[in-house]
Amino acid sequence: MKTLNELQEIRKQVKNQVANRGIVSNSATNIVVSMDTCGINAGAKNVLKAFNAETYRLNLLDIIIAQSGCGGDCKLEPVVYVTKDGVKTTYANITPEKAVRIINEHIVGGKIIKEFINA
Amino acid sequence: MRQHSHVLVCGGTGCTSGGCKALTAELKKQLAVNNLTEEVGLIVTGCFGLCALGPVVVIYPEGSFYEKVKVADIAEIVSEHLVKGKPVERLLHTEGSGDTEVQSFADTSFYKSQLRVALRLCGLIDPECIDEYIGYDGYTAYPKAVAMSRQQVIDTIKDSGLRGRGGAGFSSGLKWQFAHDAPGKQKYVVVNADEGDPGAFMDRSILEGDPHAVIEAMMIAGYAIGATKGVVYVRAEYPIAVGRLEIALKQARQYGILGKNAMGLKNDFDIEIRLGAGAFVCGEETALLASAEGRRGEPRQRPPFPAIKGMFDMPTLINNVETIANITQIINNGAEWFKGIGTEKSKGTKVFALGGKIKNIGLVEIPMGTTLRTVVEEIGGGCPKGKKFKAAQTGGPSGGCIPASHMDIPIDFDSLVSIGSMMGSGGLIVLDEDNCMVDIAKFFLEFTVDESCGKCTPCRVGNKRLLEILEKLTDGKGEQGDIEKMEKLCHYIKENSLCGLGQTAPNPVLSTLKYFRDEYDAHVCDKKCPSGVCKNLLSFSILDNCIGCTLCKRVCPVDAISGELKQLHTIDQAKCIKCGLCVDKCPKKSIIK
Ligand SMILES: Cc1cc2nc3c(=O)[nH]c(=O)nc-3n(C[C@H](O)[C@H](O)[C@H](O)COP(=O)(O)O)c2cc1C
Ligand code: SF4
Repeated sequence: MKTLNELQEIRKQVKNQVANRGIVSNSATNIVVSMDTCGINAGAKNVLKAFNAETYRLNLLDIIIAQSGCGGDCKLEPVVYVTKDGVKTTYANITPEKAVRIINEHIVGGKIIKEFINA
Repeated sequence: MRQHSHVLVCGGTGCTSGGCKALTAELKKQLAVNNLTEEVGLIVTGCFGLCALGPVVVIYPEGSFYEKVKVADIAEIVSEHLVKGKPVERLLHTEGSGDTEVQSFADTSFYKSQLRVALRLCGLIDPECIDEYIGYDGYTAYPKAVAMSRQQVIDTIKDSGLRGRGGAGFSSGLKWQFAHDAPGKQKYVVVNADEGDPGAFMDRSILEGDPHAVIEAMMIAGYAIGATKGVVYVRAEYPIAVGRLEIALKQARQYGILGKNAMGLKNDFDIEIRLGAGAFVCGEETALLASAEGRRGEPRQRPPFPAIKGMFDMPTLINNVETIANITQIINNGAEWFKGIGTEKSKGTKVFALGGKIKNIGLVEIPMGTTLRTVVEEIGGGCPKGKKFKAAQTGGPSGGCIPASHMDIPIDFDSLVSIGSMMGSGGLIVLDEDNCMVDIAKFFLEFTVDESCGKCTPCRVGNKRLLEILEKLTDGKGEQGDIEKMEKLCHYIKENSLCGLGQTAPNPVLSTLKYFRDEYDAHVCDKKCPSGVCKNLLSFSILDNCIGCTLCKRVCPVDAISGELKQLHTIDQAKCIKCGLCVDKCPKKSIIK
């Protein structure tokens, strides 16, 4: 028999797993990874994975991570758009390592990482 | 792991007939081909609501709503949307205004005015996976209820103002109180999933989409009234619902969520399923109990009400599926929250199965008090082909019609009764200018005459006689005085029938008489059916502008049309069977009814 605590554990885990099954709304914090052919060639798939893995690790529930088509700046791929508190930031040439830093410093820490922004 | 996308495929009855199983198989294949099996979740859910557009696939996090998806479309959806993040525009649901901006399901006008309480998780979770229900705060209400006293639970339900969704709208809290107070060794909680109204599928969709919500609510009800046994009475024609419920019960027992001292809490409760054979009268509570006990499904006199003397003569709480689907959320969010939705005397929401002459055929849940206009025009998208709305029939064969002049009436229990209709269990059939109201009344009466159990004379014989008069009218044999005779008979049947079936059977006749008397008069006096539905009152004729193309002559199956090429044609009324084929064929629209 599952105890109430065990059920709570399942609940926490499933909540974390299904966090992306929300409906994207403009007010929520969201991360959009540009994933067209150019982005994928430049490594966007692993960036997307890194975002999902890190938010899962930190149990961040109300962050939506979505993908989008090409934004036009193919040489800057992988491009990532982060919207937090209504402010949209565009990051260029993102790697999985940089993705982890974005989660920790921008999403959790609230500080935009200037060096990742294409000047 | 967190997956970056979730692909939800509707696995409700509608989309299953639309071929969603093949879609799921193809999705699995394409995800594997693109190496996405790990990263993308594939979930078969219950009904999303827009059944007419099925099979339906929704992809999160974007909330992209794909309609009428075919197996051949899957490869593109996977390679474009899931691999590259580019939704496949040509398959997205748009609202016919040429507006392709709408992408998220939540932003469509079909969805925007809805509020999902009873259908909270329908179309969002995998009903065959208990973990998903648990993840969406499932099985939190039951421990909360057991921590309260039984009376506190009942008071919460009473305070919430919840009223039965099965038709009569009786206060659920009071019913729970009666069952709690009644003395008896073995009490029962019975959920009524008979759902016999033609065109209704609210309860089926809840069982298919979120069966654990029903199980958890039954456990709470069992605790509140002191019952250890629960029964779900569901018609055998609902194989998907029955299957999902069986899986849910099995998983709940495996987890020790259902059964003796479930979840380690001191309380016993278990549930079994009883299958009904699909008789409408078995939805009536006393007939249902008889059938569930293994006897012939016939109603008996009330009182005693089932709460006092029900299953095997023991105190029994009977609630409708949708009623019970509100319970966990009332416990979790409080009576105040529930009271905040709806109107003064009708709290919460109501689920409707939208059908008939309406664009968005499907399942909708609206706050009580929403106007019929909002439901028909905004959510439903209006009548197809620009036809004029004539009336909406609510309450199925027990209810009545709401004419266009009452479109701004708020939908709640008391407003509907005040205009001669009723909420009923939630069938909402839209009728347009092409529907004949006498024919509609006849349709429902044919249904009740078929379904009458025959136990009492007013219903068995009275309704049959009533139907015979209606048939006389639609055959063009109506006489002066027939309408008055019908009215008298209607009242007699209503007053003298034993159970709700007979007591409400004349309602469709009475309410169409109330609002569409002119149509009845046209049938009796002019021997005409203004909407051109009743065949025996039609006569087809050809106007002078006939060009003699002979198309009509060739299409007529009984050779009733004669005429030479380039000459005016004529129809032999004696031979004509009024099939209307010639009307559609004529290039000059010269053939009129
Ligand atoms: C002919 C007839 C058919 C009925 N069919 C149903 C039905 O299919 N489902 C249902 O829940 N209630 C049906 N009812 C109402 C039930 O008798 C009963 O009132 C209801 O199940 C109580 O649940 P509630 O208080 O939650 O609405 C029917 C009643 C009559 C008279
Ligand atoms: S009213 Fe009709 S259905 Fe009800 S008991 Fe009488 S005959 Fe049977």
